[in-house]
Amino acid sequence: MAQLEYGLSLVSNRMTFLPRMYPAIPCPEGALEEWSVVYNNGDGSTVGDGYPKEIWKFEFLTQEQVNKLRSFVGLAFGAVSRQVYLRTKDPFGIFYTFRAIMHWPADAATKRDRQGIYRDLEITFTQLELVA
Amino acid sequence: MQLTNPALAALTNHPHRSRLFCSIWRPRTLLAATLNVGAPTRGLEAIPYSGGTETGYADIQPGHILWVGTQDGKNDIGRLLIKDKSGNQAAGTITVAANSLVWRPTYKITVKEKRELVTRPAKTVDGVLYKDSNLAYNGQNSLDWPVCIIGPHRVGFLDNAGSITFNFDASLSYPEITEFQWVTSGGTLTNPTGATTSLIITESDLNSTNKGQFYIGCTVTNESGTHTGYRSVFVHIDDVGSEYYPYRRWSLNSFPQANYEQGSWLTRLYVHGTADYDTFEDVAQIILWHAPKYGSSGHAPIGVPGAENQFFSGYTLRGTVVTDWEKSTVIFEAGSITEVMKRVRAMPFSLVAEPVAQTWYQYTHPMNINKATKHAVKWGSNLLDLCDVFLPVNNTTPFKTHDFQEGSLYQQTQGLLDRISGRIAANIAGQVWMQTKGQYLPDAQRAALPVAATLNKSYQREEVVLVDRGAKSTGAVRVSGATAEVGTGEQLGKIIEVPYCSIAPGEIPFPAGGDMTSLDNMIVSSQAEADRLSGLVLAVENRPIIEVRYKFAGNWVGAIDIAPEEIWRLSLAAADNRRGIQWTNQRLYVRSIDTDINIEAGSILLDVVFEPEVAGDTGVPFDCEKEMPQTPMPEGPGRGQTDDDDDPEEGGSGGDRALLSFSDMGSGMYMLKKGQTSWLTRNGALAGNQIENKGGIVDPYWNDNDVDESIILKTNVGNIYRSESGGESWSQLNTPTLPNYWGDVGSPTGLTFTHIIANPFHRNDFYVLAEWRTNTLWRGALLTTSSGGSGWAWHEIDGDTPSHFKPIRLALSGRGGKLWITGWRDGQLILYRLAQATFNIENTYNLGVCPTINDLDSQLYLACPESLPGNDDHIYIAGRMVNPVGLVGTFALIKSVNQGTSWSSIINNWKVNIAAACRIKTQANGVPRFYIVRRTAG
Repeated sequence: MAQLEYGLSLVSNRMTFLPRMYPAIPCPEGALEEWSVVYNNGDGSTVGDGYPKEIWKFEFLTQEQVNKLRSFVGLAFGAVSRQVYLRTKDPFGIFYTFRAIMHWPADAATKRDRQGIYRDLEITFTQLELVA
Repeated sequence: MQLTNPALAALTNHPHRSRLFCSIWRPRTLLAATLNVGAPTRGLEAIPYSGGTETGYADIQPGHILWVGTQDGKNDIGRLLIKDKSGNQAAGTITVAANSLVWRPTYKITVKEKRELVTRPAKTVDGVLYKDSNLAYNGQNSLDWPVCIIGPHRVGFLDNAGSITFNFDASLSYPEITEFQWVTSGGTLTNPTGATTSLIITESDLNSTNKGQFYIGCTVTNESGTHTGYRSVFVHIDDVGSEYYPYRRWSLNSFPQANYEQGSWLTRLYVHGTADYDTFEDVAQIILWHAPKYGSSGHAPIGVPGAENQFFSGYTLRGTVVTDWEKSTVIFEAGSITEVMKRVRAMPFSLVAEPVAQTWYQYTHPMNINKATKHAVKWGSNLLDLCDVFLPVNNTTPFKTHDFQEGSLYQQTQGLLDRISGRIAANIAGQVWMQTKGQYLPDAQRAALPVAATLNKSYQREEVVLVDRGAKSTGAVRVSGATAEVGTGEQLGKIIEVPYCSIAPGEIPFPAGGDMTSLDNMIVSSQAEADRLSGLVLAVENRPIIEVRYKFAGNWVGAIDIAPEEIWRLSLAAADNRRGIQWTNQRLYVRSIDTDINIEAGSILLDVVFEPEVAGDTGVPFDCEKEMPQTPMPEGPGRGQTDDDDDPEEGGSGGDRALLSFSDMGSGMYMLKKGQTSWLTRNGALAGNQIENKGGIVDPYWNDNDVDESIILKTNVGNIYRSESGGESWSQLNTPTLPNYWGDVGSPTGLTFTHIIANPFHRNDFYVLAEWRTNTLWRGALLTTSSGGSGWAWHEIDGDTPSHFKPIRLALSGRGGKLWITGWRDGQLILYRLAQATFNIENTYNLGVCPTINDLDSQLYLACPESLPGNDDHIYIAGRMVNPVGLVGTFALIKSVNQGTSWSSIINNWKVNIAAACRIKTQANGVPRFYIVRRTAG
């Protein structure tokens, strides 16, 4: 059930879950990195700084699904990123809503096969800020 | 800034995250018009205009800038300080500062709502000096003028309720302010006549005219007069779709970094979006700011009050436009206002203390460093109007006179501050401090410096690095200075200088210290202060740990700065380092800060270099007329070989000389004494391949009877060595930090001293060319000493700050007092003529095209001036030159016999490249001999 909670929106309070889009978008495999920069502290501990980063990995998307993802967040032809709200899970499996910048993968075209199927497409979200 | 416990707790509460923003001042056009005068004269100051458009005439104020251009909205002809106005939007007269513009009736004028740093030109009319174009002397130099301090420029987002409040405090204005009057270009002011006020901006105050940009001004009054300071206020809406959102299409090409010795913060920005002259006009004000969070609980930003959210406040210095078919970007260098000070030219003038000043050149006794500095920046520029300037008010020692040399506004004020071992430095928010370096303050003042925090391991990222000096580098320090007082007896009614000189550690220098430091013309109040200073400088220069490199864990931006001087403390356990260094609350001064910023990740990291504080034993009084003692050199194996050297001639250039030394290509240095046939190796402690092979060995013409006591300098890559024992022993000399005339961001690399010459008429004068690279740019400058290498000074060669500059060779034209330097500058071979006395450029000559530096190497474009000693007007240049100095054709050797007024060729159409320099020596009968090495094909 939790898989259904992966969602996107352009406003914080009206999340659209991916499987409920049309065409439906399969839920990605999400990987949230809690810090962007990790280093050793002078006292021997490890410190993490910077915003969390999320990567949504889609094993299989059709051209229509890709088009839907782009149009849903208003990524016109030539646009690479924009600010969105996403719902995804933290390392403990609990879903939260974040404000973030969504980056369309620069190598998306190389992920598409002859049948127009995108395999292992990875969409990166940076500057995740917890909303709810 | 003293960090509070809550602030320190926040700074150690991770993760640190920051959203980063860029705000640019986009000035409103107040007036655009055409010149309305049929035959304008050169230097016109009252500018009649007509055909005025826009709607801002009423807002034009003295201090705004008038653009003069060949087209509407351009400033390609000039930018002038507005002093007055009359008329209306359609027609009238704008009065500007004194200028030398050649005005034309077709010129367009534009007034922008913007204040930028400019100098106020002085003017002499019928022998009467007027400051600021038209101010006659009227007792100004007997008054203590007020200085307005109202804090830094501001920036911020409207809050959720659509409002933002900026609090301003003018109570640090000085001296003895009695009245305050605040004004603003928008929003609401509370208590506009109080020492403090609040500026409240609401969403309804933002409109397409002000673009969310406002001015706030404060006029402060004391018994001497008034002064008004202005600050910019940027207000934004935190919605990326809003027209009031900060500028979005930017990134960092080079992270902000600060350097105390350079006195500024510098950065470099990529602009990917609109970067036209409306969006990024020249000397555009830029603030980089952030909304930081420290841990999950968050904390208010930490930093300069009012500017806690800023991590850079400055101005664009110049842009590099990258254009191609695929992508186009502009890279802007940006720097603190102190960097702008380095780019505005100030006129030379003098100040002399008198019992009662009668002219602009006089200052009523007691003139001190605070008053003289204020005089320089107040009457010579509008610096005080644009930012907080904290003058060295604690130093009240009177002095007699000071010459403000021609140069930039920065050089002028720094030149004065050098006399108290002071520095100009701007902090991260663009406030300027002029103060004595903390290391050199009297003990009580040092002890009173604020302690920012005591460093501990939880503040630290990775390791701490201590740079160890090893042996002492300075053998002795001499201080000569003076104060001024009212004379008595025969000097009654006059202001006289009371000199004090001191030397440390005493008249016998440290034997291990190779260098001698001489601080001349200092302002010292007593013999005790001179003794204290000489001892302290010696201790500082020989401090065992040169610097501490400390990386901060997380976003400490704002918590640490290069100005004002403050103390950080560090304790080290002997067990934590292999040198067994043990410190307990060692006091440290901040000397440089490097940031590492990842905009996408929202992270900011800081690397800081500290200088440890040291204490020194006092020096001893020293006869001011006495020569500085030299470091005693140990006996070398070669001493005594000079017994048979009986050259009877004294120093000077006439007649044949023994060739003392030369460098083989990487194999060493040799000496052939007069009358002998065997070459002696003179490499000292250096391996042959350590010796620079580009002419870095001095052949001192002046060498006299005692060869072994002559001073010889030589270089290897990045170092200069001195021998006073005929080459038997060498000591490495300290040279000052590389200059940064170009406002470069990034560390210089590949420093090479490429050519040294001696002055045959002044035994201790040497001139050295240095080259290096910063990023991909060639840089170079002239390094000189008049003390045989004990003290050095840098001099700028390429006055118009080209993109690339690489010096090649230099020569001294004998008694003519001219230094000649060849160089490669942005695709051209250039010859510079400098006055040997001042090192000012007197003339430049184009020696032909050399498209890239590779052309210089591969085609052997080697231009080498070597003059005829004693024949002062001659200059010869060898090398392959195409159409040089107005000559038509390809030449290999040209000459001028009148200091560059006219030129003629000696060898032309020579098809064979010259592979080495020409050398020109005179015979006894004055006939020049030329020695040119050339390379044939293959």
